[in-house]
Parts: sequence; structure tokens; C-alpha cells
Amino acid sequence: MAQTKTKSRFIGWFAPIILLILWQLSIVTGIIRFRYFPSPVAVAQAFLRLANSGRFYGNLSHTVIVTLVAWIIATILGVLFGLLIGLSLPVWKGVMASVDVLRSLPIIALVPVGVIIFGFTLRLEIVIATYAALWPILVNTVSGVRQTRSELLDIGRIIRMSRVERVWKLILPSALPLILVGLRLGLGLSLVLAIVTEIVGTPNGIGYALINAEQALHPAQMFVYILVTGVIGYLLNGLFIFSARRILSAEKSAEKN
Amino acid sequence: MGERSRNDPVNGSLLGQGDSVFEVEDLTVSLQTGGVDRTILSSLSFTVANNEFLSVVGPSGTGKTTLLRAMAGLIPYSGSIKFRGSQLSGPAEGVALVFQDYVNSLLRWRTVGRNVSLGVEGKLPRDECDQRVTEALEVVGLSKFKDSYPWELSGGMQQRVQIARALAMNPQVLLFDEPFGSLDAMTRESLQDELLRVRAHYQTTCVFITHDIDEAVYLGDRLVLLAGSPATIKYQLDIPLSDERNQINTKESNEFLRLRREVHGEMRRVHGTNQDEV
Ligand SMILES: Nc1ncnc2c1ncn2[C@@H]1O[C@H](COP(=O)(O)OP(=O)(O)O)[C@@H](O)[C@H]1O
Ligand SMILES: [Mg+2]
Repeated sequence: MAQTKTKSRFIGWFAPIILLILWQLSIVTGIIRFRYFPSPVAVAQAFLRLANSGRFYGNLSHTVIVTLVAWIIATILGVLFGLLIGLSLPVWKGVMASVDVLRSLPIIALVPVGVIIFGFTLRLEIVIATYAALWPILVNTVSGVRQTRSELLDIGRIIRMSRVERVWKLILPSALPLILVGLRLGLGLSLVLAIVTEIVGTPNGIGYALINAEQALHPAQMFVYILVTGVIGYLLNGLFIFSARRILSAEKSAEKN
Repeated sequence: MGERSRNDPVNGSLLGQGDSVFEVEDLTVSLQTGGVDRTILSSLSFTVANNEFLSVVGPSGTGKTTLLRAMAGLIPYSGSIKFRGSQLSGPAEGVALVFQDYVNSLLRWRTVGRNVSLGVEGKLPRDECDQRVTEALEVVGLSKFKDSYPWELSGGMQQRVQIARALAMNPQVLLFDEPFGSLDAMTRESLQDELLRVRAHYQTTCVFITHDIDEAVYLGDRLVLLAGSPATIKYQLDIPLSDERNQINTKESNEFLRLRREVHGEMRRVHGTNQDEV
């Protein structure tokens, strides 16, 4: 068991390392010859230089904070409205068509609209990132709520639970797995859209630094920021899965006593 | 009606001998299917006596579940359902329901103990609540599994959890909707015996729906046959078997065989086919 795991880990790292080596070789040997295509070594050097500058961390934390703030707002709004829509058949019938239209609009197309309204501000960034994260959270909450088994709802009525109790003890826990899926999708989207607004013009964050590096003709730096984006996405996702597991097992151990 | 109800020291004094727990009169239920009102149950009249075990049999799709949901106060009806003398207008205190689908009736995120406490938590003082749970789990033989999760248990055990949850509420009436229908034959028989034992312990009135005629006769004090579209009561039968029932002796007794033959005959007559398992 343990051996297979180590093995698959090894294989997981194997491909990117080979790729990096090939990349380096093809540049050193001159097989690839673009003017602004850096070698992995150049990227690594750029990273070390950046890592020693304060600006780098400022941009990094800006993007992470915006992502998290937007995601938290989206979570509150999404779960709240998701519950509202999922719990009431008339509301569901009334708004679901609009929800489906709104969430199908490509969010990127809305960025220019946001720029006109808010300018290149922090508010723009948070609004766009929140909007992006809102839909998967809302839609998943709605379907989670609506998928609550009829047996559970009947039991709630027979036990004569209050409406709040029914939501809290039966409906929300039933919907939790789907809500968590929505939260995870939302987190990824909120990061992507934060970076997009920075690329478009908000003067802060990873996206902004990336564009600056481009305009300064610093391709190695650009690659550093791209990789950093990937790492942030990976870590946020990992952190989310970790806390989701903790929440679920805390729920379990709380039940045990 | 069986012997049990006559010697009932607990509920007997409360209601008086032979008083009805449920009085159903002219019960008609219509449900909407695809925008069209369909009459499912038409003009049913029957009573359920205190501490009686009433079996309800009928082909599937007849409306047995619908009848039980009406008696649980879950769906609107016309006619009259009186529970303990007053008209039913929603779920009543003292009525508990056990579903066939135990997997979806239990809270998978709660332990067995916390599933059983669902109906009493917050309504009783903490220690009384714990006591109810402990007793109910003991009666169904699951004390050791209090801290397990439902999905860690076998189907038969999960169904016992559901029964324990109903018992913990100390109901006067237990409504069962084909509770053993998805269990294998062996588990089913042991749960039948367990149900008889549990019922003797708690002195609960039971309405038990099944499409298995043997089960209906084996468990019941009385049997009601539901059939037709819309469903009506086609036939009622007293089951004068002794209270000491067991799988081998009872099911091989002449009386049991006579009763089951009679019910099978009635079923065939109203349904037009041989209905062993419908
Ligand atoms: N919620 C509902 N809405 C509309 N029709 C229903 C509903 N539940 C059951 N029915 C219909 O009522 C009839 C009786 O169903 P049911 O009471 O479940 O039968 P049984 O339990 O005897 O198998 C079936 O034809 C079924 O399609
Ligand atoms: Mg049914």
C-alpha cells in the first residue's frame, strides 16, 4: 500500500521534471529560439530575485486576500439565497430561469462593464470575483436542498420540528456534500477572476505584476508569476479540502460524545 | 383482536378497554398526478383498537403508503380520521412512522445514538432523553452500536435503528410502511419476531403495511385487505392466533395455514391473479 503510494507520487513528479529538463535542453542547444522565451534556469533566477523583494509578497497577499474575501462573501450570499430558492417551490419556479441565464453569461465579458461602473478599484476586483464564485455556490446549494429525501422531510414533520430545525438538522446536512462542491468550484473561479481584473487594470496583485513584467520585457518574471498563480490555486484547493475534511470529522466526533 | 390488548395494563387504563386509537370514516384521498386529480383511496372506513396490531395488505400501487401518510397527518384528505377522538389535521403527537427505505430515512451524518434521539432531543430533559435512547437501543439489540454510523451497519440493523428512533418517542401508535420489504428472508424473519417482542415491551398499537400475506398474518391481530383503483377495503379478517408466536410452530399451525389460505383466496378474487408476492 505505502509502496504503491510512494511509487505513484514519484511518477507524479517524474513527468514535470522531465519536461523541465527537456525545456532547458532545447533552449541551451538552440532548438527553440524565441527572443522572449526564458529557460527554466532563468525563471528560477528571476524567482530568487523576486523572492527577495517586498513588492512580490505585497502582490501575492493582495490576490490571495481578494480571492478569499470574495469567496467568503459569495459563500454567505450563495448559501443564503440558495436556501431561499431551494426551500420554496414558488421562488424556485420564479427565479431559476433567470439564474440559469445569469450564470451562463461569460463572466469575463462582464469585466468591462464592471470597469465602467467601478473603475480600476479594489471594489471592482471583489465584486467580479464574488460574482464569479456566487453561481456555483448558489446553484449547488439549490440542488442540494431540493435533493433532500422526502423521507427526511416527512420525519421532520412527524417529529414536529420547527422550520428552522428542519433546515438546520435535516436539509443543510443533506445538502452539505453538494454545497462543498460548489464552494470548491467557487474558490477556483474567484481566484481566476481576481487575477483577470488585475491583468485588465487593477493596479495591484499577481495579475498586475504579470502585466508589468510583460511591459518591462521580463519574460522570466512573467513565468514566475504564472507558476505562482498555479501554486496559489493548488494550495487554496488543498487547504479547502483539508478544512472540509476537518469540518466533516469534527462533526462526527462532536456527535460521538 | 388478540389477547394482548385485553391484558394491557398500561394503555388499557388510559383509554379503557377496546377504545379506538384511530377511527377512520369515509376516508377519501386524491392526489395530483401530472396536473390531474386522481382518487387513490375511496371511502375507507375502519378502526384501529388500542394496542391492536393491524396488518394492511394489498397489491403494490394500490395506495397503502398513501393511507399511512394520511394517518400520519402528512397529506390532506376528505372524510374523517380521528386519532384519540379528535380530528387529525397534521402530524399528531404520539404517532411515529417507520419507512421501508431505511438508508434514506436515517441521518447518515449522525451516529446511531443521535439518530435515535432525533425525535426526543430538545423536547425532554437531557438525562431522560439519554435514557429513552439507551432503552430503545437495548430493546432492538443495538446497544453496542450507539456510536457507529448507520452506513457501518447491515440493512437489518439499520432498520432496527429506525424502529428504535420511533420507539424512543414513546408513541402510542407505530405506523410501518413495508419495513422489512427490502431485507432478505432470514433477516426479515428475525425482525418480525423482534417486532413482536418490542411491541410487547412498549405496548404500542401498530398499523403494519406489507404486501407479504404470510407476514401480515403472522404479525397481525387483524388484517385489512386493500385493493382496486381507487382502493377500497375489500375484506377484513380477525387473526385469532395465540400471542406466543414463533416462526416454526406458528407458521406450521393449522390455524395459520387456514388463515393465509383464506387471505390468498380473497386476494386472488379481488385482484384476479395469484398474488403470492404482489
Ligand atoms: N405524491 C404523489 N402524488 C401523486 N400520485 C401519487 C403520489 N404518491 C403516490 N401516488 C400514486 O398513488 C398510487 C398509490 O401509491 P402508493 O400509496 O405508494 O401505493 P402502495 O404503497 O400501495 O404501493 C400510485 O398509483 C401512485 O402512482
Ligand atoms: Mg408503498
